[in-house]
Amino acid sequence: MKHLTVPLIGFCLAGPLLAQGGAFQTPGMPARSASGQTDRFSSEFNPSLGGVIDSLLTWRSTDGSNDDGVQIALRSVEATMNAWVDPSTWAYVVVVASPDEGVNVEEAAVNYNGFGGHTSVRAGRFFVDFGKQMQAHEHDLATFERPAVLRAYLGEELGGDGVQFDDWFAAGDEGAIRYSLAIFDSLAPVVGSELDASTSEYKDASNLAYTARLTGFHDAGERGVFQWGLSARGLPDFALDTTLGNGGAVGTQGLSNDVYGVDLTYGTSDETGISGWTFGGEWLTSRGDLNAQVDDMGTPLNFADDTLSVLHGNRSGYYVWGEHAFNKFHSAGLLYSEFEQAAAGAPSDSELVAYYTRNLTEFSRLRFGVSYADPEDGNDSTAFLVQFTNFFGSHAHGVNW
Amino acid sequence: MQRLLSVPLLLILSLCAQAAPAKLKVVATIPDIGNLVQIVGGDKVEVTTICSGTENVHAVRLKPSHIVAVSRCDLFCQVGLSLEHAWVPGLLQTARNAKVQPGQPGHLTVSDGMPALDVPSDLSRQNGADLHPDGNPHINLAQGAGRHMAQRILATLSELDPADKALFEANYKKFESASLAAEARWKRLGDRLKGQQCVVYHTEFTYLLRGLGIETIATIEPKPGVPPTPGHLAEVIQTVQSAVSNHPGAKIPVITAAWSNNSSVDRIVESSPQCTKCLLASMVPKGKTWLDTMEDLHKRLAEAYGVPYPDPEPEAEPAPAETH
Repeated sequence: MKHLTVPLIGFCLAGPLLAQGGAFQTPGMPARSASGQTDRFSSEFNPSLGGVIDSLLTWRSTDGSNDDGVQIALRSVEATMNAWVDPSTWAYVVVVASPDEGVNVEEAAVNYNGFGGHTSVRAGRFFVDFGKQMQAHEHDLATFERPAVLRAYLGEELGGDGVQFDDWFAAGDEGAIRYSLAIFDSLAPVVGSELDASTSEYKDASNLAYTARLTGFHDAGERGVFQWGLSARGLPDFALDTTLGNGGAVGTQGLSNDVYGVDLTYGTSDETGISGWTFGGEWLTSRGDLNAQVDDMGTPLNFADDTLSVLHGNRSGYYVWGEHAFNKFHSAGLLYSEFEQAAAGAPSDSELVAYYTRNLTEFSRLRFGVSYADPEDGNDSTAFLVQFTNFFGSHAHGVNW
Repeated sequence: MQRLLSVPLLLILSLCAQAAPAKLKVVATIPDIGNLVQIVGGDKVEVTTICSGTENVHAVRLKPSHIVAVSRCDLFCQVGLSLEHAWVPGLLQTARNAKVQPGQPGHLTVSDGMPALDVPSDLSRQNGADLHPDGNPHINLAQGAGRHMAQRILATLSELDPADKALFEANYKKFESASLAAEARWKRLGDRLKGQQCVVYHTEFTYLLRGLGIETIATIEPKPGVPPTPGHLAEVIQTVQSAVSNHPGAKIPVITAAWSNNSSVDRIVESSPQCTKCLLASMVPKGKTWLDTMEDLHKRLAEAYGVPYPDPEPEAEPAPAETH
């Protein structure tokens, strides 16, 4: 009789597993929901899944440089999940793999809308609500990458772990005003490539990074929309450090930087809604500690006396952009950006990008362009670019309006 | 004395203003629904329509006034079947009006209960970019859609404003009898058009054409939402020429909308003298009613095939022998 006991117990335990019913749980194990919905593979409760493959071919020519030629690169692969958690809460996750940065959880945030009215709170990791472009991922932009001034003052992409409060109210019958305020554990500033920026792991609440945005949207005629916006990103406390030629390190702490921006955008479409013009521009100023340089104290072979010399000041820059959509498959645009560099008295950098976008379908996009960069203290460079971006499954991010 | 009187007078006026029953604020996605809500609701509703009637309904550019209107409305009406899926979910999520979220009494999908055509059995995007899982969503152009949509609107308005149910029912009855008369006329037109052939650019007129018995022999988009390739256009031209040789003298309209790639349509039209371009509206244009628009669509089709449009009164219908 004893020889039957083990198979019998095994059969009793296997029953629920085969049926995928309520899992057998020993006391003290993590308890799942009573309804059993979290351990069934019912498609009704699965999140929507999506993916993006973004590739870029670049042919670059720089005056007086041997570093010319063609590069074909898989720029990034993105996987997204979106789902309602409950009737008041939805969440999304964006995981991106790129050759430069490996695999990163770029966004993973929960939005709670249960306060009533138009208020929401987002918590987790998410891109900053600054201006018109910083919330978008690179493959969703109208151009190949963010305008040069945004890359210089805020970064190619800027996200952090934090909490954001968001609200909007009507301004008459034809307008709305939205505002947001967020605090982040850290929003790393953009500095020279040889420097690492960081913030302390535990910090005073007054040293948390923050963003704020106030923006208004208004009907402009029968088929136009006008938007204005004011944005701020504050970083009250950060440190810079770098590795020296002898393998040692040098750094400085207690730095701060603020960036403020003003943006204006106008879009209009024809009567079909698929052809139209969009014009926009954004002006930014970066204030405080902007960058740092290694000062060898006049003894280049002696690393022991090297220090970091911090560059302070106020710098500003802007971009302007215009695009025409011929129909839902063809559009073309022009973007110009100019900004002051961190070093005092250094000349401005500028960049001009012209592009043509061919949407093969709603989910497949080819973009051709030429980019001309004119750094006043460096060599002019011209790049011809072909971007091929494909979206599969559903595609969504936590972008605000 | 004048000042003494003015205070009670203002008070009475303000009380009167408060006593006036508030109208139901309704937002409709397309003018077809907006027009039917206005017909059924009469002066008890205040309707805002998002599309003006000329847009591609899959690509509507929302304005701030739309968000404000949805945030304040009592009833939100859409066609459904994912016709407006590119912009309605975001609009509802942004406007944050709990009364009109899906599943609430203030959220109405007028296509519910109508049998959809071309429900895909396979949801792979290999079958097209504009794939609608619940079937072809352009149900507003079905001959019987007016009555169906109006019935759905009647039921919802009566639920939200039971005090005015009798008025809504009376308004609906008037529309129903006008629609039935028009549908009878369209049926007689269908008798004349049955078996005729056409080419379409996109599938937005499927309900209208099948309701009349018109056969679509080719679609210029190889798959819904996918622009035509040169190879596919050559295939369409071959199909048209084959149909022309099988039915000499038969007219083959190439039916399209304003936002389609009409240079492709022109290539097909130029491929045979029996082809003509037939530009149709897929929504009610500004200032028109659903019945006017459907009447106009049927007249245009009759014209495209060169058949006489049936007279309004059945009694005035000429004998078949005289018409053919």
